[in-house]
This record gives sequence, structure tokens and C-alpha cells, in this order.
Amino acid sequence: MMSVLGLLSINMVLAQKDSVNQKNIEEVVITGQYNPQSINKSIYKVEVINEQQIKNMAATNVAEVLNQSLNILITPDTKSGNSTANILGLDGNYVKILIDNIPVVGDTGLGSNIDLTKLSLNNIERIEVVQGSMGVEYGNGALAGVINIITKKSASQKVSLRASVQEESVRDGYSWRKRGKGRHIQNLNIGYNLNNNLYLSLSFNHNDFMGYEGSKMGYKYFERDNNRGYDWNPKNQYDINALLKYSKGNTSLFYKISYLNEKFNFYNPVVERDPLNDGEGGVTYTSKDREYNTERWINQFNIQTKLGNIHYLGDFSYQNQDRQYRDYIYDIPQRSMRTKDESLSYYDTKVFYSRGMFSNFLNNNKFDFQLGYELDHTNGYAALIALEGLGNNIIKRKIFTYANFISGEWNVNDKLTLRPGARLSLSDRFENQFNYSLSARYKTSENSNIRGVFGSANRYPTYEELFMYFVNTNHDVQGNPDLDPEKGFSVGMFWDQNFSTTGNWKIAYSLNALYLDVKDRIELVTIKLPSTFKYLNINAYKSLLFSANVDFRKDQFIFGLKTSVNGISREMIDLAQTSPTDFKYNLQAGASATYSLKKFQTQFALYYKYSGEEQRYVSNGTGYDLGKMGDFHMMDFIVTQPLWKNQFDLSVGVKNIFDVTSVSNTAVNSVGHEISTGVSNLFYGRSYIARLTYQF
Amino acid sequence: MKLVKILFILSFVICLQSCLAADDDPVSVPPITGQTLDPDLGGAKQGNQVWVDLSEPKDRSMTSNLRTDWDLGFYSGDEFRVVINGSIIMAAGKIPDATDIDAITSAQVASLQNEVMVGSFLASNLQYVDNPNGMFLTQTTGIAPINANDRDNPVYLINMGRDIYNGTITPGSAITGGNERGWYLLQITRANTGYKLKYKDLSSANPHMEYILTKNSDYALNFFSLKNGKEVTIQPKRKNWDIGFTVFTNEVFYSPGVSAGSYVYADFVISNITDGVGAYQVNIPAGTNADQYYNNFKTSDIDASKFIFNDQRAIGDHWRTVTGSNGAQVYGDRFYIIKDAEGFFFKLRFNKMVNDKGERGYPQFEYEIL
Repeated sequence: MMSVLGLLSINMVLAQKDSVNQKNIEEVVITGQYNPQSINKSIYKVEVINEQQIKNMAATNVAEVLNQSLNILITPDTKSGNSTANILGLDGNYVKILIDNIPVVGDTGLGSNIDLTKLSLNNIERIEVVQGSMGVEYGNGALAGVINIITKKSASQKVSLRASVQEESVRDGYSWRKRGKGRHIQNLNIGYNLNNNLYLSLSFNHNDFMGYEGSKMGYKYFERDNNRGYDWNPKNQYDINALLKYSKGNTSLFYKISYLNEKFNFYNPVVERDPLNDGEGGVTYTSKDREYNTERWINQFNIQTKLGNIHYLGDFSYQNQDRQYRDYIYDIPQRSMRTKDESLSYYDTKVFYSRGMFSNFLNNNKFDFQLGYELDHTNGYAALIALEGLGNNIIKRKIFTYANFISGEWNVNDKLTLRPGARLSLSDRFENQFNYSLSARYKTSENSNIRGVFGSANRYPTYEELFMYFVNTNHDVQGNPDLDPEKGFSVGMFWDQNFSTTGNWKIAYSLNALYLDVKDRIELVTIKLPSTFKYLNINAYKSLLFSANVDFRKDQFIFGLKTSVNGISREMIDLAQTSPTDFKYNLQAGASATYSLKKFQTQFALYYKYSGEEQRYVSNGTGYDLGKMGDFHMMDFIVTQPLWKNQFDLSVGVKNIFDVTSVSNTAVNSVGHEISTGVSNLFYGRSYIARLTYQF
Repeated sequence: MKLVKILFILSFVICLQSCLAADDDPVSVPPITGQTLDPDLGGAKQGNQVWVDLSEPKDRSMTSNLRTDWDLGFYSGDEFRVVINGSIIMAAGKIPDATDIDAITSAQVASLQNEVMVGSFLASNLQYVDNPNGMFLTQTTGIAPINANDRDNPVYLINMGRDIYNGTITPGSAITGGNERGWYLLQITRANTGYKLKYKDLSSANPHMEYILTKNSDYALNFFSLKNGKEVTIQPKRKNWDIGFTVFTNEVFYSPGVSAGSYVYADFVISNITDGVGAYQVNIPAGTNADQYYNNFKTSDIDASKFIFNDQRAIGDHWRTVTGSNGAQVYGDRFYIIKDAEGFFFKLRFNKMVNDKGERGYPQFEYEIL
């Protein structure tokens, strides 16, 4: 226990020291920890993407950063503009997204199905990723993994400022005009230490993505052949954050408020010929275009203090996301908006959230336990275009969830630490949910650890699964209000070791195995042939992941290699048929290299990821076909040059060097009248970037 | 101060990027040379059938009725043929070995009720509906030709289909059927100059009703409403309509050639083949400007061999699609050539299938005599 406390104090001291020193100390993580913990001593296997790496990647939002991680696939939805994370083959509903350790509000609830492009990287210290179920710590939705985005909350100088302008081409397009091309980003961060105890920071970010036409012809095109519009529709985001932090002795408090405004334009591929009825045969072409406006507010109050011996960590948060849309008729040849409907809200979520964790009751370094509660009151609203068949019906969903969790940390000896945990979640909508965890870390040597982690988690049904309604004379596809949460667990073994060679090479490597199991999986099932469907808790899902990483470091050189094999077995039970459940394997590999020139301090960074072909069974109505998603290579290369006494930083580079755009994909089901197109627009091709940063 | 400088530069950059006007100069579109019509289908529930006479002046070219106004259509020519109302998803099945309409009990037809329906995705259900090609004089499905020998005319179990839906409908969708209209028993025999109907509501304890319908040859079909027990006028007089907009009971396929039986289509367009109307589709080659191609199409470009006279579905649902990731839309790559009942040629193309709010059931087309 002393070590934990000791670390905490080191940590606090660190925060005051300058950033150069900080890099020499081990990385600290908070995901799943009682207190901030060195990554080496963490009971969980946490993957960290730090500020420097993020900067090296010249990424502009969390989606872009995670695209470099193995076994995370970011899937963008052209129509809604949302990009969500798939982990271990499970979609965004199974991945819990946290900012500063608390879940972030999204369209449909808290923490799940979060659009990662709405999370800017402007003021981020690091991103922590844990794969596997963490229901005890993070509650429902933390089934395939947790992504925890940690913002910066301190600065070494009295006043610090960073401003940057980043310009990117989007494939071949680049233009500064309105409705132009490319991506234009500006941001500004100001940090101010009012005195030794109070820190204030403000940040502003603007990310204007002007869209990518791709296989389409842009918004000015008016042939009636579905070629109007964009493969990636334009999106313009502003976000502002303010933080006030107070720390003194054992106590630290912060209050953070964030505001996001996003405008996403959907340019409709469907064009209509539209007579003007002017008596002269006048005619034009119109489209029903749609503008989506999203506003998000996040308030967080965090307190860390000691009540006697007891360490208390509390979070209180109020968050709101309101997503609205507005349709308008666009006269394409005239390039003018004709009629504009009023703006209507279709997803609105208001959340009050609180979590409190108490630990160090025994003040004993052999055994400690943590007691905690987590509660959220989510007032959700879905209407109009949110779901097929909703019409003028409004779905209001208030869920109050209260959970208690307990875990113990037992340092059996100086090598072995065990942590059993349990959570009971009570909600006014679903039956009581129990989650368990058991983690163990065994220190095989000073530089080597073996971790064994078991955890369970649930996933609540989505709006669509509960309330979808598509019924007509020929079809009957319905949600099911009686669905139960899905239940899942994961078991993992992780081994890592690092050592130094005589030539002063530092080498670190790890071997990992993770098994994930989901039962009562909710899926749309044929209940009467051929077109009556209903969501049922019916299927099973198994995912098996083996991965290995190795990092080499020497002086200014860092080189990393990683590879993984992910096997997935998806059971699909239908009226007359059950899919094969054999594991289909997918190979991924990645490499990264950074090197800085000693004399000029020029830094070169290269990132590479290969994602192998993925196979999965898809129902064809009478049996199952083996659908495939094609393989692809991603590579980014960025050069950064500090200038003028390191006050300026100029970066130039190329992202997506292999110019990958859409990936062939026949592994998609089609339901009702929707027909899959056979491709996934995962990327928008090669882009050239330049960034200028000024800081002091 | 540095901060001011930075803020200045930032705001300058932001301004620069939003102050440069978009590159969009208006372009012109060639005017319409024909005229346009907006058949009123009654919105996404598509409650109306609309009959269009292309050769009439615009203000007199359309008549309409509710789909539920009629149940049966009786041919007025020499043959004794009866059609059911496919627009309300009706179906008719022979009750085996039944001759006395009053002797039939609900229990007796219970199993047949599970079969006499549309949209059960069985190829065999086509026998309970009219042949969707509209060649009712030669069809072998639906109600059999009325036999001169009274005793040889069976009693039919009639699925009365569905009422017009009256709830709200999401833009982009159409709902073609509302509440079920129940079941009737029907027996038809010949009367001197027409037909004699015996019918009753299956759920009613009352004895059957009778009606004598006299053929009126001004109309191809004489219509009758079982629900109201009276004759009604639905289609315009012979040769006074060329195309009709209606909900339609068609045949659907699992894959080419593999029938999945009857299936209900919204936004369907039938041609009046009974009065000799023919139509065919012209496909605009890919990469050609659709406006130019349509405008340049002249009488001399008509390929007379392509006219379809033996199937009322030449236009059918081919003019639009409701599947696909972009939702309901008119195909822009095609138009139609129609030889109307008087022998005139028209070219016709569809502009819209939804209104400004995106609601189905608001088609618009333009046409021009050639």
C-alpha cells in the first residue's frame, strides 16, 4: 500500500515538474486503478497512446489515432457522420468511451456508441485502451473494451500557450473556399497557474472537414443517377473546454466544462426533376439535403482527497447531447436553398452521473479494498428519423442505474498481487445485473510481469433493438421491448518483459492472449418466413485474440512491431437454419518508427498497419454464405522540425500513403429494404498535411 | 503582446477560410417541352387509384376513386370474366365441393383462410389472385370463367383484403394496407345479359344476398362493391384512360425465375391493355445527358416492335425503386413510349415520387405527344 501512496505523491510532484523530466519517468495510467498507477504496476494490461505519439501522428481526432491500433476498426457512417470503434469484431455498442475516467454522452446513451470524431485531440495528455470486459469497474457497455481519454490538467510554467494551424488535403482536394476541399484545423490552448494551488486552462478547437467526393460527383451535380454528393460528407466542428483545478496537500479538485458544436451536411444522392410551373416550361433539379447539428455539453467535477486514512475519489457529471436535423430543398442548378424546414431534435440525452470510490480502509500494504458506487440517470429521447418506422412517435427512455462495486487488492507477497471484484447493478428497467472480476499480476522479475485477467460485463439493448418498427403488408420487422441485456466475459493472459542490451538498446516485448464470450446476444431473427423479423436474445459470440508486441529503443530511435491474430465465431440462429460457428481468423500487423536527428532535432515518424482479410458468415435467406472484407495497408509518414528556439514546430507529412479509400465488403447483412453495397468507405485516401505550432 | 498576435493570426485564418465565397455559379436547364401531371394518390397510404387519359387536356385528364370503393370487376364483353380488387390485396379461393353458399360454416373454411392471402411468399398463392399481367380473359388464376351451367360455378372464399391505412407514415415509406376487411363467401352465375351474384359475410348469421349485374359495354369492367352491395363506376369509359396509378398485387421472385408468389407494390403504374394501350421503356445509355436524350427523342426513334400489349406492367414498378441505401427514388435513366387507346404516341418520364417532405404517394410525370 505504501507503494501505491508513494506513487501517488510522486505523481503529484511530477505534475509540478517540467515535461522533459516527466518523459523519463514511467507512464502512468488510471483506467481500472484505485489510484493513478505506473503502467508497469497496473493490474490491467493498458495500452497507452501518449501526447507525443498523438502529436507525431498529426491526428486530428480520436478516431484517427485509434485507426493505428490493432484490432480496433473505426467504421464511419456516411449518413450520420458518426465513426464508432469496433473492438474484437464487436461494434461501438460494446465499447465504453470515457473522458477523464467517466463515460461520455452520445446519441443513444452514456458511454456507448460514441462518435469518435466528436472527440478532439486538442488538449489530450494520453489515451488509454483496455481490451476485454470491465463491467465491475465501468458498468454496462464495457464489454469488448474501454477507451479512456485523459485530458491535460497541469502545466509547468506560469503561463503556457500553444496555438496550431493544420492544413490537410483530402485525397486530391484542397481549397480554402466555402464548401471547398480538404481539412482545416485551428486550435489554441492557454494554461495559467494563478498561484501554487490553482490552475486554469482554456482551449479552443476548430476542425473543418470539407468532405470527400470519392465515387460521387459533389453537391453541384444533378444527373439522376445517384452520383450526387460525397462518399464522406462535410463536417465542421468547434469545441471549447475550460478547466479549473485546485490542489493542496492530499486534496485536488477540478471542474471542467466542454462544449461541442458540430454541423454535418448530408448531400442527398437522389435528385428530382422539379418543374417550376412558371408557364414557360421552366424546370430545375432539386435534392432534399439535410443538415445535422449536434450540441454537446459536458460538466465534470472531480475530487480526490483523504478522509482520515480513506482515500476518496469522486466524480459528478452532468452531460447533455442534443442532435438535431433540418431538411431543406436545394435547387442544384441555381445553387440555392429553396425551402428550409425547421430544425428538429431527434436524439437528445441528458445524463446525471456520479461515481465515488473509497479505498485504503485498512491502511495496510498487504491488503486494501475499494468500495464504490456508480449511478447514472439517463433521460433519453429518440424521435423522427432516429429509427425506421418511428413516425411521429417519440421514444422517451429514462433509465436510472445504481451500482455498487467492491474489490480487494491483496499483495500476497512482493511478487503476486490479486484483485477480486464484484458489482451489483440495479436499474429501474432491467433485472439486477451481477458482474465479477478477478485479476492477478505476478512479477516474474524486476522487468517482467504476467497478468491474468477475468472480467464480465453486460450490454443494454439499443433503441433500435427495443423499438424499431418496420411493418407493412409485405414486411414485419420489429424491435422487442422485452429484451434482456447481453452478458459477456473475457479472460486474458498477458506477459511482458523489458531489458537493456550491452549496446544500450532497450527492448520491451509482450505476448497476449484474450478470449471474449458473449451470450444472449441480441440479433434480428426471422420468426416467420420470409419477412417477419424480431430482435431476440439468442446468439452466442466468441472472440479469441493472440497478439505480440516488441519495441526497440536506442537514443533517438524507437522502433515497434506488433502483430495479432483474431478469431471470431458468430452463432446465428434462425428459424430453419443455424450458421456454422467455426472460428474465422483475421491477421493484423503494425509497425512504427520514430527517429530524431541530433543536430537539427528533426523528427521522422512512420506508422504502418496491415489488416488482413476478414471472413464472416452472412445469411442469404436459405443458408449462409461466407462474406469477406478485404485487406488493406495503412501508412503515415510525418516529419517535424522545431524552429526558432523550439517555439515553433513545423510538421509536414503524408497520411494513408497507400491511398486506401473503400474496402470491398460482402460481410454485411441486408435487412428489410436496405441492400448492402458491397463496399465499406473506411478511408478517404491519401492526404498531405502541414501543421505549424507555436508554443511557449 | 504575443497572445494578441496569436489570436489575431488565428482569427485571420478562420476568417480567410469562411470568407472566400464558394465556387458556385448557376447553370441553366433546358425547359420542359410537354406538360406535367401530378396524380393524387392520397399520400403514403396511397388510398386512391388514378386513371389518366393522356390525350385529354390537362384539367380533364385524370379521374380517381378510393381503392376500397370496389371489390369486384365484371367484364362487359362477350366473355364472362370476373376480377378481384388487387389494389386492396384481395384474394379468392375455391371452396372444394361446395355448391350451397348458406351451408358453409366458418370451421369448414378455416384451413383455407390460411392460404387465401397475398404476400405469404409461396409460389402457390398466385392461384388466389388475378394474373398480374392483366390478361384476365385468358387467366387461369383468381375467379374462374363463369360457367353457363349454374351448378358448375363454385363458391369462393373471398379474402376482402385490407382497408386503407390511417396512421402516420414515416417519409420515404408507403403503407399499402390497414385493417383487415374480413372474409366473404361468393358464388357467381350467368344472368341473361350479365351476372348473378350470391354473397355473404362469412361472420354473419344472415342468409346470403343476391344481385343481378347487367353488362354495360360503355366500360370494359363493371364494378361492384360487396361491402355496400351496389354497382360503382371506377375506371373511365372504354378508351378514356391510358395508364392507371394504383397499389397492385404483383408477383415477386426470390431470384430470377424462382417465384415467391404474390406481393403488394405501391406506386404501381398499369397500362390499359384491354383497350389496346401499349408501352415500352427506353433506357438512356450510361454517360449520356438524360435531358438531352429525352428531348431529342422523336417519332422516328420509336421502335414499334417493343410495345408491350399483353402485359399491363410495362411501366409497373420499373420507373422507381424503394430499395437501396438511398431510399425511394425515381430512376433517372429511363423513360416510356406509350401508344394510347386512340393510337397516338407519347413519350413520358417520371420526375418525382415524393413531395417536398419526402412523403411517398406524390408522383409527378411529364409527357409529350410525338
